[in-house]
Amino acid sequence: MLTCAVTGSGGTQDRSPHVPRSPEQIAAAAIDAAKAGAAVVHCHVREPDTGRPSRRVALYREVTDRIRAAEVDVVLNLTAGMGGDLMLGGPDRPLPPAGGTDMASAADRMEHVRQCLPEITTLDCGTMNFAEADYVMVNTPGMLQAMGAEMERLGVKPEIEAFDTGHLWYAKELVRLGVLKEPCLVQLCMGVPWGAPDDLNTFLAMVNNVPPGWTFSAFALGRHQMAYVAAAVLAGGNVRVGIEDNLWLGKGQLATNAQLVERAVGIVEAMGARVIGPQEVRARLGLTKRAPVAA
Amino acid sequence: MRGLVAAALVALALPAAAQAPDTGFPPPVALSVAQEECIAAGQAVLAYGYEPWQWACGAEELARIQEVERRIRADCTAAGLNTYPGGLEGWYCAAPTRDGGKTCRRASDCEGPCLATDSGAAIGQCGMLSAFVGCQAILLDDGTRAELCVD
Repeated sequence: MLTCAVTGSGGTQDRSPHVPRSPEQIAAAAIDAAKAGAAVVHCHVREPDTGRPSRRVALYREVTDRIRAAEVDVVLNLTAGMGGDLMLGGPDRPLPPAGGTDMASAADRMEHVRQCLPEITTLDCGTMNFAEADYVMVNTPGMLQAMGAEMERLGVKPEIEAFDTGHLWYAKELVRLGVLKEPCLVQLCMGVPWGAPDDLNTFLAMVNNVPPGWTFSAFALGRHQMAYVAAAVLAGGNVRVGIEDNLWLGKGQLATNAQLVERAVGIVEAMGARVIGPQEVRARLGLTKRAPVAA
Repeated sequence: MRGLVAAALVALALPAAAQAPDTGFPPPVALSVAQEECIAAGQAVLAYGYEPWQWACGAEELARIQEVERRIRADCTAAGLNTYPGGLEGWYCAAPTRDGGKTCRRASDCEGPCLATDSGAAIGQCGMLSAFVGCQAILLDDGTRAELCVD
């Protein structure tokens, strides 16, 4: 299973002309990725004029409608990671929170999922520092329980985003609490500062802690993206590439999403593995393709 | 932090044989019988607060509890009071006093409670808030000392 994360929510919009911004561009990038071999497209949305990350439901809705209307079939994976963004005021005065803070309720963070009904949505399974001095990605246990329960209620498969070992640990706790139903789907997110580093020891520690019967995929950021395609296949997992995680095809060469997918397909097939299509992904993960809720 | 300490103590208290062999992580805190019954009934155990007893069985019960809490908080604010962390529910309703810290000998000396300052002495300080939670020695109206525990 090959997932393409087509745009993300990082501040990458001005670093490459290939970072899609508008719903039309995001959907087009997703469709091109699907044509290149991605069975799953993982989509964030951005404000069309500035390219800044957004969680406006109308933007998700347009992306969904455009992808669903395309001639190529693909499994839709919408992020639910937005709305847990806390920007503190700095070491001398952490409170009140600074501009850029967006702390939403579980219901608000899930509203676009409730309306768009993608096959998959993401559950960032913990709170974490990133490579920004005073930014914290906030996902408390209470928030994860509420969001996870809502995903299950909606029949949308949660993809557990494990940025570190503790996130995988808490995913198991969510199963134990009856919030998530097994078998689960996990994305091992490697090399995201300051979560799990992307060295192979740490990666294998993560892989070895994925319970039997669960499905896992893995990716790494930046220049290790393609190396991790090979590592994930070798470890018995699925792969993710895309502009969300890496802007470059090679030294000095900015990539499109489709180019990254094509390269990943080549690596997978050169290793003797097989890239499966969206129908097979749905069958394996028990997913149902549904139309969005009527507007 | 308290939860972390509690989890660590539970982990230390369990014999090594009880640790799950598949993860290498400390064993999880045991679920209560009620929580296990909730899960067996196909519902999820959903926390709504910090304390171990602050959980709901399923999203509908969670929504009901949160609605009640919202109403109580709104009543508190409408009465001109504030919410402060503490107590069984994780917060309580009180107001700052104008005489907080003043020496007192009986309850009527203060807007809020007259909090005994040390054991044995019939002297205290007026509380900074109109109410308190937890266990506290106070001086009553007749100046006698009493231990009062408030949830």
